[in-house]
Amino acid sequence: MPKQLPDTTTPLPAFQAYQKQFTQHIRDPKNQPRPANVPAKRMAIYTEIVYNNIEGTLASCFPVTKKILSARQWQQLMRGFMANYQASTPFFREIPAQFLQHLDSVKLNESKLPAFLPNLMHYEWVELALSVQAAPADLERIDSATDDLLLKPIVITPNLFLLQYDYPVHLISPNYQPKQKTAQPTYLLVFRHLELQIKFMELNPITFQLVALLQNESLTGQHALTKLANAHPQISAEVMMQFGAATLAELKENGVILGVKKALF
Amino acid sequence: MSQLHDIQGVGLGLKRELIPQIQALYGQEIIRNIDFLEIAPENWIGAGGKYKDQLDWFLARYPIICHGLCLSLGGLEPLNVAFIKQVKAFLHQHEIPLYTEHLSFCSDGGYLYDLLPIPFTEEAVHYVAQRIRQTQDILGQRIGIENASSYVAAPISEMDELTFLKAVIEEADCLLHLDINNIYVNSVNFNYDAHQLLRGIPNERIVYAHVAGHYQQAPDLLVDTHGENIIDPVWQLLNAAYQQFGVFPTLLERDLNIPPLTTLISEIDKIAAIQQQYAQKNHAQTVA
Repeated sequence: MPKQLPDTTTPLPAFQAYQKQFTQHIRDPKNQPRPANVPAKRMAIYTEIVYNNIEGTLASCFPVTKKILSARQWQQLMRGFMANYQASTPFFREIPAQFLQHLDSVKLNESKLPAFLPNLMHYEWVELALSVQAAPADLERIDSATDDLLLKPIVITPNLFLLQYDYPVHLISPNYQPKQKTAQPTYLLVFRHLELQIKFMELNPITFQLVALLQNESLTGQHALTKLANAHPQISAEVMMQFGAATLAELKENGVILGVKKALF
Repeated sequence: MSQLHDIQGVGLGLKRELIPQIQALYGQEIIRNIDFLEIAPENWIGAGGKYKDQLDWFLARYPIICHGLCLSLGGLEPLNVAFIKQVKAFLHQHEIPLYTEHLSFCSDGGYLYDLLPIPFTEEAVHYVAQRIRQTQDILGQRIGIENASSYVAAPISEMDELTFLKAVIEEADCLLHLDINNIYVNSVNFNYDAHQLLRGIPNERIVYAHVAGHYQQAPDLLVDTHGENIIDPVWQLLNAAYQQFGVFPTLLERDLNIPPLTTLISEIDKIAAIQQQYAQKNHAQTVA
């Protein structure tokens, strides 16, 4: 008789083996049998409440996605998430982010899902992420006496997402579902206004780069625009400054720029 | 700062829908019987924006209890220690005196976000009690565990619900968060006498109680939705509990089909009235 290899995994105690079978069935009721001698009708309550709870959470975060997909496609996405993903967060509001991680491993082609889906769902998630994000705007640093955005270091809101997508996600609807990536990326800025509303702006590539500069380091408007002008020799410095000053004023008006930094002494 | 002895009278589960209504009616006669509130830490830890402002508003005005959903005391993987530490920091930061959880599990290596029944076996008693102890050690305080509602009786169970509940509480040396509605729901689902089970409850462990409504799916199957009004047999059970054990703080849970607060308040007032009735009775007995 061949020597039996030692079992490297300790078998689960009976109560845990039962629990495992119980949850496997909840995760994938079509393919995983329920535990022996458990009545189907009773078991169905659990498969339903767990599904409805997770589905409801995701549906409220991804309303456009749900509207665009057929009921069958949406259900397959939900079922796939439950069957194949081990959610690692106890926080309900993080379930959508967990779903986005799972979506990375979904073969969109095979499931006949639109190629823009990861872009669209990420964009839908941003609104939720911003509404609960904890970063407080540090208003103490702001100099309320001046708003000289060109000569003083600019402070922008910490509650913003600067986004670049292959598809114009903000336009997607049941009536507009692009098949191909657009020639130019779509640049979006989504941010939480001080009054706690979530707002979004579509940006041109130069403004996108400007906000990215302001986000990464504390620069004066003039400094940021000089950097931009150096990166784009095809645009005259004069035009860049003119465009830049107007854009900075608009960003201040909208609440993306909070103000300028107080001098330390 | 609130302490455990500030949790008195009648409480209400703080659902998002109720937040603006309580804020609007705060200080008015109509909601005078709301003495404390309960929140799920999973919904509030780390939340910023307007949620943080709301939390601060309520913390300044009401004693608050944390009633968790995702600790997964019966879960298959090791306890989420990082999460327990977040709960601990949250309790300390906001001076919240009590944290309770369900005697159930909600994860099998990954979270499923619902309360699933633990089989009532000897091994499970030791396993769960050890995890409660570990939680209490990390928190540096005792937690309350809630008797959970359930729809499936595990065929491998070796004991009844009350025996399991008492064994876990005893071995873990924890508090009991008594859910009156769950006793009733399970008594119908598994065909036992709710009052008899109530009589066996270790009353010295009760820290506070829940009452709620449920959904009747079939005559022998109740689903613990917290989406209906409280029914008479549950009120009777609450009366019986106060009569046997004396009055304890009691909280109304309403999670679905939430009526306007001005309607919901009648159930709060009813709990308060029953508490008063038994407080007077017990006082009269003590004096006599």
